[in-house]
Amino acid sequence: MNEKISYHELVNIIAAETGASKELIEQLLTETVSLTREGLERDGNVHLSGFGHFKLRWNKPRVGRNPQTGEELEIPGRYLVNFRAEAKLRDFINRKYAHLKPRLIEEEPAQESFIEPDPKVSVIPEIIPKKEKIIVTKEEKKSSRKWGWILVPLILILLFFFFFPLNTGDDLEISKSKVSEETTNESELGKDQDAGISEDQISESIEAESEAAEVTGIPGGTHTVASGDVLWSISEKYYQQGNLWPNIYRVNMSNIADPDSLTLGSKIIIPPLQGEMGNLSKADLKDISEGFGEAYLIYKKFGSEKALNYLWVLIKLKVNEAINTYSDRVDKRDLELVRLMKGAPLIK
Amino acid sequence: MNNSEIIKDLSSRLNQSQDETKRLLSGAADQIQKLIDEDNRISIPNLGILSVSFKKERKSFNPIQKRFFMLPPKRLVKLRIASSLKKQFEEKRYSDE
Repeated sequence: MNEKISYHELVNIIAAETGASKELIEQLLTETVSLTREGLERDGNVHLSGFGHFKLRWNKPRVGRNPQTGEELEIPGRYLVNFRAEAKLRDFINRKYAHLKPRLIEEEPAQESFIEPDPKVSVIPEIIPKKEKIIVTKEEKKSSRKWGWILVPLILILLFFFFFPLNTGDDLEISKSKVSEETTNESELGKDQDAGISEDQISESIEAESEAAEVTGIPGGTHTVASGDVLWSISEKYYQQGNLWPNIYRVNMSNIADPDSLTLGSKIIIPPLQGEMGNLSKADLKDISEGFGEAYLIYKKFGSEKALNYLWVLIKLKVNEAINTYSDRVDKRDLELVRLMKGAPLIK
Repeated sequence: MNNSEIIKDLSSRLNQSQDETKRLLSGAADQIQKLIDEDNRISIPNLGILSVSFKKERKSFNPIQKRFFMLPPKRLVKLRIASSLKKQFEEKRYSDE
């Protein structure tokens, strides 16, 4: 019906149902209300059977801010009256939905794939087709730029530690000279240094190195979490590089609810690597990429902005198989942000 | 203040027996329940306006189980507190200070 019932209508309805006089019902309602007010004043808590609980709550004084002037204001404390309907009343009005229970959602709805699923394509396809227009509001652009400036130095450090040890041995000088030649050529031509190009060359050289080099491998094992242990420190201990922790997380996902906090005394499986640091095999790179994919998904689930870092690395590692695995689970907005971050120079 | 105390005080104010007061009070509560159930808004002077709002089905994350759940729709009883009641406790605040 959705009508407003006035006090007099309510009195008439109750009087008709109970068989009492209107005066008596009117008096009953008035006195009940005044008793409720008195009870709240005296005890701060009133329970009316069949109706609900009234509770008096003190809201502490706090410092607010005028959004227009930015001036700080002291908001005084005040009393608030809270009402909570009795369970009987709640059940009565919800009897239509009583049979419904919370149901488990097995999987998140799949999002639009961002990469053409063509396994034959050796070069990484465009993350987002150029023709496709994505409407990004001014505020989103502003915030993405802001995040870009914050995240880029972090990612630079991460990638520096990730790639630097890979370029060891005699071939290191060759790959470095290649990179420097390319970068100097570009600067001579007056072009901007594009991080993507340098990154491509580095990853190619890593792959070439990994194919050519003798594979000795890093044995896996089991680690018992001690006080102060984090995935980074465990990764440093076994792989000599902390930033490979997503590879450990990938294997232990079922036991680790939050990668930032480990349970004391729990067992962590350390996955073996076929290659060594600096000579990682293709399979290792695939595993590591998947680790970064999982790290992205868990941080995304927690709503953490760190997720973008791991997505960025996943894409930059350019392992097609790994990218295709996560293509349907990546948020399109995140990709847009990562795409904006792509232009940041990696090698100065 | 609990329900029995209210009935005791009410019966003395209305000059009715406690059983009769209890019957009238539960009858009034039943009628209010029925009216609310029909999506009506009930105005009670010096107390507030009772109404029902509808909460749609929504997705929720259980942090312990680390799983997403779809919660069923439900109706909520809301009471918009009357300004006279708010004023009463505004005065209480000043008297406390």
